[in-house]
Amino acid sequence: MSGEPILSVRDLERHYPITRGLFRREVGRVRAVDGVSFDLERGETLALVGESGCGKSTAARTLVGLEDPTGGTVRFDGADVTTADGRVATDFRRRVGMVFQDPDSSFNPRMPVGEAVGEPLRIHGMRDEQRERAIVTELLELVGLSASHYDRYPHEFSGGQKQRLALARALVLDPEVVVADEPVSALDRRVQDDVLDLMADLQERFDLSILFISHDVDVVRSFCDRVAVMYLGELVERGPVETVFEEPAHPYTRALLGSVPALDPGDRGELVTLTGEVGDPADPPTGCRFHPRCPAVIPPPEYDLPREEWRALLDLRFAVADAADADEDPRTGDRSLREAHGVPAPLSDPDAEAVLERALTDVEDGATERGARRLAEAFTTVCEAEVPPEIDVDDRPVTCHRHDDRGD
Amino acid sequence: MTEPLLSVSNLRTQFRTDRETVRAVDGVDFDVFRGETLAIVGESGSGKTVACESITRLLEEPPAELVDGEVVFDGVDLTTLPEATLREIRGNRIAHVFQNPQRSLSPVYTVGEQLVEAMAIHDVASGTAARERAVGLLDRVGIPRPSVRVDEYPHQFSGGMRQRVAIAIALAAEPDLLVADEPTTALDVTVQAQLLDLLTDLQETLELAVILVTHDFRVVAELADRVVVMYDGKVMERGSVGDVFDGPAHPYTQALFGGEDVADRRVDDADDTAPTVGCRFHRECPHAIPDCRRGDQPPLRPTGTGQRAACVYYDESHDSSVVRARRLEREVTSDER
Ligand code: SF4
Ligand code: SF4
Repeated sequence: MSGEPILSVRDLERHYPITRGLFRREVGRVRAVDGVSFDLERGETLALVGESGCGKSTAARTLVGLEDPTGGTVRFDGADVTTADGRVATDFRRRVGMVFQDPDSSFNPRMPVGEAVGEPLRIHGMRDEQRERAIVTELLELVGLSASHYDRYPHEFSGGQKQRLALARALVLDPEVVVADEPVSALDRRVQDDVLDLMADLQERFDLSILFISHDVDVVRSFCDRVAVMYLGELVERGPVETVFEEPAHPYTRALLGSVPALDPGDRGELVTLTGEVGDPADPPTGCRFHPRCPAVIPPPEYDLPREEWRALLDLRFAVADAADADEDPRTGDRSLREAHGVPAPLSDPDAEAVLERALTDVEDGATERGARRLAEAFTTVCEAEVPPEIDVDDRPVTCHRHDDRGD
Repeated sequence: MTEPLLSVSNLRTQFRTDRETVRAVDGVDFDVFRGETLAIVGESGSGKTVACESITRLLEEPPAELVDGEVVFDGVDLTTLPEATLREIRGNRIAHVFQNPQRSLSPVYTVGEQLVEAMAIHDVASGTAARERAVGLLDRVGIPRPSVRVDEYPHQFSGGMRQRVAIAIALAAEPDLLVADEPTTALDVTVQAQLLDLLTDLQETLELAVILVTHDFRVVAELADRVVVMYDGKVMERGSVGDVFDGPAHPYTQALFGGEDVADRRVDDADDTAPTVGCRFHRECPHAIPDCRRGDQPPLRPTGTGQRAACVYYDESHDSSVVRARRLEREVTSDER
């Protein structure tokens, strides 16, 4: 790992317009990828990890040119390939191979797999059939299959074998970078291990740099060198896998790791559970995008409240605000608002309790909007008001106010 | 010990096509007691789902066919019941939750209508009482603003919320047994954590018996009391969660926990099906000896450490320390890390 990164991504953006009416007037944007920056160093495996809808796959598809970025730059081996065409683009496509979660997407059921593996060669101008066959056969053997598989059809292969074929196809043009989007997610655990072992072998043999898109913390831990954690279109933390996974600095990373059950029945009941659901990328939360769910969300200096109480109080505040917006009664079922959000009675800070009581009385009286306003004025957080800057924590870029002077 | 709520013995279910007969479940035994969670663990093709769907005959027959075995639920053998009686038990006393919540939800009715219907069919409640109970159930399974969302359609819910709705519908008839087949597999981990929390809570407060079908030992560690490990239609190991996690006794269970030497021999070939003679695992097993290739699958025998395993090494004529030795190695290496 030396010199310039092989792939360098800056402020990458992929927005989808939401249009309405005959003239397709743009009324909003889905911010699927919203300013993502990272480097892929030569020879390393970098994971882009996150949950569904966080934008990791879109980021991968955008940076290899399968989708057009709406902003930012992608540099490959020093050259700007963001909107490249002609020779630069062809060259870039040759030097970056791609593997997807569903191998069936890259194999035509009516084409023998050998031909499918060799297809990129033909697309890039190879006319010599014998040479093509020789190259493909050698690759088939390298991925643990054999020459006898050349003329068979996709349905004759197991899921793991198909992923081996997909790897062969991704490598047929001798690329320097492989972008693998959830390549083992559809496989049984033991087959996953086999395919990952194979990828590690191939990485060494072909001197590959790998960008590995995954939702699976276990797989990332066992296979990747560095990791970038994504939430709602943005990166929240990046660094070496050991450091990030042993001492996560961002509350979302902590929640992600803490929500994986331990492999020990003695440790049950210790799961980190977030409240609420992932936000809408068409209307992301202000400030830090994780603030509506973050267990560590920062309280205002004037109140002295333990973490859980503050989180529960904010949940209640947001629920009342939502109800006010929708012109609904926030109280539901037979539980009180306090109970529904786990807000203790009374709060440990008497001033906060006084505000809350007044707001709850408002709601009681049917003045939900007034109650919502009262709560919003008193219970503010820097996490909602200001976008956290990127801060280096032990050489790891982290975007969270807990690490700037606004926290603690 | 008290009588089990459900007792499955020698269950055999096969699928018949023009070309072949697949013995998906090939002589499986397990019990489920009231208030406990039994996990059935295995990889794809192990027969774990077919075994569970055989209990209330959810499988399409044909091609599926229940060829043998007893499924005694609360004293009655379900295999002998006519479909009409079985339908009453299904949903009423034994409810299912699937990996894909759509399987128990209809896209054309609101979730409230579906909950009310489930209660009506099973005579739990009707009219305004049913609607109130529907809202209460949605609240119970953690749906925010239940009195509003009760009038929405399944597609208006996120994947995690939809699974909660499916659980609410399953619970509407106050069943004794909940069969949950990979209920969190399609969900993100943070959503899975919320659902696992909910299942633990429901199980404790309602004293439900739960059969949890899963491929994921982490989920087993979080929820289950006892485990059945299946491979190719057979039970390989059975025991308490503590015993099985402390020292998996069967070489296959050890492989699932990540045995290195097994991976090299893994059979991952579409046209290479498991053998039907001897131990089903013998082609992949690092400890296989000629005895493993003869006769039928060895029976489940006590291992001396609490659980039972279907491996020749646990009979009197073999030295079980051969397969046990690996366990010790494993523990040592994981301690060193
Ligand atoms: S900025 Fe605030 S809300 Fe965002 S992660 Fe940090 S503490 Fe949580
Ligand atoms: S019976 Fe033989 S093949 Fe089967 S698990 Fe035991 S040692 Fe391995």
